[in-house]
Amino acid sequence: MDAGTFKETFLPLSDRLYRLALRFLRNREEAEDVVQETFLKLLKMGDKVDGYKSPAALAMTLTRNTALDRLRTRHTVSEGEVTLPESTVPDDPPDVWLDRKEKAGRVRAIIDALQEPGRTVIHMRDVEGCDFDEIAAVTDMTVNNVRVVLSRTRKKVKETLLKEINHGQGNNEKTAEEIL
Amino acid sequence: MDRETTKRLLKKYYEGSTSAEEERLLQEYFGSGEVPPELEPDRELFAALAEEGSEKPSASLQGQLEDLIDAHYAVTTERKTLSLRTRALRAIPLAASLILVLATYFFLLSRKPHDTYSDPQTAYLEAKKALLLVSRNFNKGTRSMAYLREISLPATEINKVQRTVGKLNDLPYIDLMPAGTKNNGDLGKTGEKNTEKNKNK
Repeated sequence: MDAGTFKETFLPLSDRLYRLALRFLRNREEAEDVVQETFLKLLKMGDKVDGYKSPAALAMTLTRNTALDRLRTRHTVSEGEVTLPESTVPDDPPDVWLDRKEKAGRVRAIIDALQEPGRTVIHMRDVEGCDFDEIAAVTDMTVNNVRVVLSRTRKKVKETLLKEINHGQGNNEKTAEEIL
Repeated sequence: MDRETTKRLLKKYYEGSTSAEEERLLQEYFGSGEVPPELEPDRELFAALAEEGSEKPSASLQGQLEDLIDAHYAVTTERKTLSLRTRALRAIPLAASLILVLATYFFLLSRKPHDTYSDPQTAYLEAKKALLLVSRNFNKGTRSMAYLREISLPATEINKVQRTVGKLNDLPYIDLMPAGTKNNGDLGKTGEKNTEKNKNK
């Protein structure tokens, strides 16, 4: 693979790889580092890269492994940017005090906190729109398993979200009671 | 998309059996605006997923990656041409020695031995004569070395003496110091130790 082909194949993937790394590390700089590391690994592989059916799956696998390795060696959670949305609430009704951005943060935190491989599967399918073969290659599972994990993870995310919504409302009522 | 279709697709979605096209429809529906209140959590989920998908790395990343690629390919092509040259240089002496060996081989192959005698009988006699000549001269040579044996003769006598001495060494050991004297020696030593102890006191 010459420089031109390499660029054509892998550069368009860089946004996707960045988002995947961000999913695990929740830190922009680190996620970009991981993308660079992934590219170095791909370059080092040389002609072996040509042997892979899906270059995208290969690149995503490398990104995932690199990011998970970093996560494992990370000493404290505080190194990340993870900020869970506040559940203490002012007197405004929920749909006002939680604007859409914050709501997105809530779901994001739920997905971030998921176990592997569910986290990778839901990210690849629902954020990146990857097909099942690709997800299966990256997570080293069968397509059937991917479907099972995807269904379980989607349900779990919704369930947790519903719990948090109810919890938030509960808190709200409580504070309202306390105020009265 | 009507409410029934939405609910049907959502059910499929949570079962993990929606197609990419169906998921796009759901995404479109939830992104378009207000939804019934019972679908609000689903809307929240789809909105979050869409937002996650719009995350972008900093603008400089693309350029940095391109630099990485260019640097890598620059180095590898340089290494390739360099190694090609060194490989060629290394092959020169190898090729030369190979040519030499082959040349000698073919040269020797091309030289046919030619017969000196047409009659085998004469050839045999001539060969015998030559061998006899060699034999005679060889014997003459060894005869002149006969005096060397006389030189080695005394050496063998010395060997004999050495062997006898060796046997003497193998004789059983006889203790020349009787037990009494040994004890005396020990007493002297303990005496010294005692004086040392006294000094310490």
